[in-house]
Amino acid sequence: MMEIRLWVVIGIMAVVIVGLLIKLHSVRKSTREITDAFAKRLVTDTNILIDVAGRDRHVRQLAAELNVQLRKLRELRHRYVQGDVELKNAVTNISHDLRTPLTAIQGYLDLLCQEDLSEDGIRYVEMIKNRTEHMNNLTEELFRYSVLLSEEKELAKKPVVLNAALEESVAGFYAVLTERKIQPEIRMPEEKVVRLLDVSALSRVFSNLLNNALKYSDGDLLIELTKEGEIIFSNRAKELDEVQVGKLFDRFYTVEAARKSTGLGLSIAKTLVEQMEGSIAANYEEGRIKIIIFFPE
Amino acid sequence: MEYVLTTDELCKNYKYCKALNRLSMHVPKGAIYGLVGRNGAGKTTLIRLICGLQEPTSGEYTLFGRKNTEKQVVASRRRMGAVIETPAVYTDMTAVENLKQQYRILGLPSFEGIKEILELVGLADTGKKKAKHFSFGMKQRLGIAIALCGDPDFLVLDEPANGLDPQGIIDIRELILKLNKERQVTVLVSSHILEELSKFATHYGFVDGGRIVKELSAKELEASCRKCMHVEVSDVRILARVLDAKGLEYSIWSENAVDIYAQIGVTELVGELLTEGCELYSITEKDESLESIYVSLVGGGGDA
Repeated sequence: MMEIRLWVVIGIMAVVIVGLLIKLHSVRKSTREITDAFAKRLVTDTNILIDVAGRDRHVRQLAAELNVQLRKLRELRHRYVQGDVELKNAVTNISHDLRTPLTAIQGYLDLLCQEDLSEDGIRYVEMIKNRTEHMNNLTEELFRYSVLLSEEKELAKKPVVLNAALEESVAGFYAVLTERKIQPEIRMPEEKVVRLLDVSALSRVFSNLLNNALKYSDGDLLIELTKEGEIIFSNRAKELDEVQVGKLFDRFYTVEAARKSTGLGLSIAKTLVEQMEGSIAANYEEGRIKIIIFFPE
Repeated sequence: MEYVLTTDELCKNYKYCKALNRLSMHVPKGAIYGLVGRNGAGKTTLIRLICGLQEPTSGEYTLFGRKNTEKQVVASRRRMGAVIETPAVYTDMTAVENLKQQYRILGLPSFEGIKEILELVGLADTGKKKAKHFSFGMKQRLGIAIALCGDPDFLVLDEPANGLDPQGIIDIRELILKLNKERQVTVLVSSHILEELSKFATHYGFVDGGRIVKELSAKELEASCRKCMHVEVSDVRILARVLDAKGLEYSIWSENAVDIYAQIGVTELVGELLTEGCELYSITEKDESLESIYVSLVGGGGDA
């Protein structure tokens, strides 16, 4: 009699243990699911929340609670993305809309020049013309930059010989460089360095960097190309310091506001280089600013 | 550009016909992609394939970076919501019960968000009314509400405007725009009416005979549609002055290209430009209505 009772108790216990093991297993599985899902939700740009297969009340509560937080996070992300898109579009539209009246102004200025003007009048008109020209350049650059950011155009990548592309760009700037009394020195290897790049984007990067050198050089400019695909622009620039160089790639950062600059040139260069899967960096050592572009093979 | 969905030479053969014939399309992230084509062009077949309801005969597609042959495509499908043909609703349940059921199926841990979804689609005040007593438009909206339960990143709607009254069509359009803007949901919507799609789509794919005949963005479509004269001259400044004097609307594209949004007397313009010393290189008239584009792409006979 005692023995039967004992067996019954053992039997019940065994059933309970098996039941609990199953429960434990399912809870474990659910928590693992939640862990995986949570980690994934945070790294992917997605709207979906955490779902669980198990029926355990506490696990579901945990998931529900996490979802509350995820919802909040999601809302913030949505607001950010929407604002960012709207801002970029607004900048593109404004810079495009500015073009039409600006061109008209320039047209009328040309007419005004043909009128009989007093000496002062001529001087003032000349001044207005200069400023308008400048404003034109600024809006043009702003427009290009915003277009670059807002539509991620597919770059047309083709094999490009870096040696030739670099030479061509520098040759185009030779006149302006000599005018500013800057003697460019170019060092490149005999062998051709070929990379898959977008020709027009590359030449834009080079010309932005050359423009930059025009602004900051104290009279020298060294352009180096290495066999590994590194392109280094360096020049002496006493006016700069390390902190300023660190900020050069920031949008709208310009060292001296008075110099005709939007501060966009280098960030355009950076965006383009990164779109072509290269890297760009700047450093400042012993009075020299060095901008290093690297296109890996 | 990042794509939510790309298809590569997708084919689907039924016994006697090729429903899809090497169809390749690209739906960019964040787009409202309008799939335009006549009845029987293959729109619904395509949608059924990408939802996993049918298997392609050949070719493949990629959903959120996963090929349809990979196992993980299931996880990608979880990020999708779809309403295909007649919305699948439980007719004996109310709107809230329908959504609760969908929440259970998805395994969502709480019923939070149901009210929000119903408000979004405009069914918040249906109370105890069962779905079988809903009007056609309400059923359609309930279908969309169910598709929204899993908070999808990619919403697929097959002919959502079919059989709706004008107000219903406007509501659906507003809803799609809202989802796209505020929740960054990528939407694929099919229709045989380009006019309707043109009010909100950002990208178009024209389907005919089971293949994409043309893919283009709303900007490109708009550019080819607005009635204007595209004029190229040696000096836009002079042209701008001349046009200003006439009080015409125009917009400047580059240093020598201008779009003029008016009918202009060409001889007169040339004369005036010449006296100012500006050369005229070319004038092209752009005038194509949405309808004529549609017909030239997918219309005009041809077997489907």
